[in-house]
Parts: sequence; C-alpha cells; structure tokens
Amino acid sequence: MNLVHVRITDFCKYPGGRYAKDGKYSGEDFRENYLKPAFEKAELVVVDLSGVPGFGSSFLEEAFGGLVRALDAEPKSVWDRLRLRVHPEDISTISDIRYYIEHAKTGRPK
Amino acid sequence: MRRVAVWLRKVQARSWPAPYDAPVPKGYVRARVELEGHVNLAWNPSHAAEQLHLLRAAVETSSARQAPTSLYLDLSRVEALDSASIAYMMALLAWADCRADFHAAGVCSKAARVNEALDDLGFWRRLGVPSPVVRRAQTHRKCLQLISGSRVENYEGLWKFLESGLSYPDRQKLWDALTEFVMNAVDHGLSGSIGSRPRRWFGVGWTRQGHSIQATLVDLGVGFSATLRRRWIGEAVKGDDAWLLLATTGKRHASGRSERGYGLFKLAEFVRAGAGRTLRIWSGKGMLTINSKDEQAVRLPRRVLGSVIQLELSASGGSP
Repeated sequence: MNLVHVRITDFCKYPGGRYAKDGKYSGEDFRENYLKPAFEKAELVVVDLSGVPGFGSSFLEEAFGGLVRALDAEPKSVWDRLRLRVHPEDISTISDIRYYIEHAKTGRPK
Repeated sequence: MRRVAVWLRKVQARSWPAPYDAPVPKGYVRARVELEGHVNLAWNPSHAAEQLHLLRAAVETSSARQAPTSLYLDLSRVEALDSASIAYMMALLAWADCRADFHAAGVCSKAARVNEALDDLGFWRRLGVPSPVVRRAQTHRKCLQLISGSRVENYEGLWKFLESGLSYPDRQKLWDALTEFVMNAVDHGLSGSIGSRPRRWFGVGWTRQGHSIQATLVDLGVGFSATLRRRWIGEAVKGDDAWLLLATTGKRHASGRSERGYGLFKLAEFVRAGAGRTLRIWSGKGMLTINSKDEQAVRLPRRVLGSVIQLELSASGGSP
C-alpha cells in the first residue's frame, strides 16, 4: 500500500479562507495543490495539520469536504484513506474534518 | 497631509488655544462631534449606539461634501470607552479619511483612563501622533489593525499575544474566530459603497482586560440582516436582532449553500458550551449576546453602520 505525507506547514504558516479568490493560502488551494494530487497518487494519505495556529471552518470544509466533491467519491472511502495528525490538544479538528467529509454532499442537517 | 492636534494634559482652557476656535485650513469644512458618558457597546449599548451615531453622521456628512473636513472630536466628557467602540470609531475615521482634530483630555477626571483605552488599541498610533499616556510596563497590549484588503497582516503579533494566558484549545478557537470574522466580512459585508466611498475598511483588534481576552472585528459593510435578506427574500423575520439570532443558529446564512455557513454557527456552539466565554454582535439595530447561560437579543435605538463582532474568553477558565 503506497502512502503520501502532506504537511500543512509546507503549504503555509497561517491558513486563510475558503476560496482562492479570498486571498492566499485558501482551503481551495490546499485541496487542489496538495490533497487532491496526494489522493490521486496514493492509497493512504497522511495529513499533518500541526504547526499552524488554527483553521477557519471554511478552510477545512473547502479542503476536506471539497475533496469529496472534487473526487466525486463516497465520503467513507475518503475518510478511510485519510490519516490526520494534529496538535495533541487539538482533537476537535479531527472531529470537525470528519463532519465536513461526512456532510460534504448533503450539507449540514437543518 | 493629516494634521492632528492632541491636547495631552488637563489644562486650563485659557492657557491653550481653544481647539474648536483653531483656524481651519483653507478649503476645509469644520465639523464638531462631542461624545460623552460611558461609550461602551458591551455594557451600555443603547447609549453607545447613540453616541457613535453622532460620529457616524458627522463622518457621513463630511464624506458627502466635496471639500475635506476638519473633524473635531471632543472626547473630554467620555468616561469609558470599550474596545468595540474604539474599533468602530477608528474604522469610521479611516473610511472617511477626514482630517481630525482630537480633544481627548480637558477637564474630565476619567480622561487618563479613556486615553489609555485609546492607546491600547493603537488609536494614536493610527493617527501618527505620540500617545498621551505614559507607557506602563505592558507586554500584552496589541493594537487594532485597520485593513483595506482581505487578510490580517500581523499574524505573528496576534499569535504571540494569544500564547500568554490561554489554553491551547481556547487560543486556537480565538484564532479560528478571527479568521471567520475576517472571511465573513470580506465575503458578505464589504460589497458596494457608502455614498461615493467603497466599504473597504475593516479592523481587527485584540485586548486583554483583567482575566479576559477580547478579539473584536469591526467592518463597515452592509450588516447581517441586509446580507441575509438578500438571500432569504420574503422571510417573515422582523428586526435586526431577530436576524442575528437566526444567523447564529446556523439556520440562515448568506450563501444559502448547504456546505457553507459553519463559521458563526460553530463559534456560537463553542461559546454556549463553556463558562467564561461570551460572543457579542452588533449589526444594524440589533445586538446579540451569547454565553453559556443566556442568549439575549436587544434592539438598539440607533443603527450601527456595518457590524461589530466580539469574542471574549476568560484567560483563567476557558476549556471545559
């Protein structure tokens, strides 16, 4: 099983907003230039999200939820191929990402 | 070039030229605004909204004129200013880019405290004049940034500030909140213009008061209810306060797309979930306060131009 490592710190020091048009270091940029190529290349993708202060929800949704939409994949298959590394005190980011992936196609329940 | 006159000390009026009588440069129009009392959006919202409305009216009138305005802002009767009010004042003045003469001392016994508050948020620095406050040993004071773009520029400064006194999750949440505030302002609030001037200014400020840390964003955008009404045409929601409540429940958001609208909703959830956290939003005539015990929406007597959003976290008792 081939594996690719993606580090957020290789992308930026301070993650920005949702779309590339919002400014530099957007979730869309991260997805298109790092996550999507990694998922196309490897079966297992390890994403290291430590080393940055934090993320806006738009960044995470567009990067990970947007990945499900961009690959037109099932949320479960994307989640199963993903391994996340975060700061030890930052467990909530993992659950946030899981939520965004699971609801990538259906959206948030009302 | 901007000319700013600052009266630094409590002095007898006759020993200084009366500021309001100072000559106005040729081609300039004079305007005078006098604020008074507790200009504190958090604790005295109705009065603060009334006071800030005076400044807003003066600035809007001056910007509508062809001639530049020499605005004389008298703060000598102000007894307290909170960071949200200062942020709002600064954004207004920056947006109007008017000449400003400030009178901030005079006979008011509370002047020193008001000046300190102005100093904390970089009010004087913004105007390029020396602070009237003697610098105390202060390591955690950071100024408000006014930005004409879409990003906070002084990330390093903000992160270092947050590193002291907050747990990691709270620090991260405050950071996330600021990112959300900025992106929401850019995405939804800053389109169009006010009169002939684009709504390009917004500011981010962070301050420490006692055991609490506040992050405030002010933008001069169209406001929450105007943004939401554009998307949710025909909704039977009356009043800016009611729109604010709906926005934080996540049931109505500006894009209307199901994968969007997480930011404010998740932030409100975070605030509701733990003690020592408060989220305050002022927009239009609405004011909303959320904490773990209560949610309160209030209708203000005067419309606040744009929006002010403030997240306050207790430095001692943050995470659950």
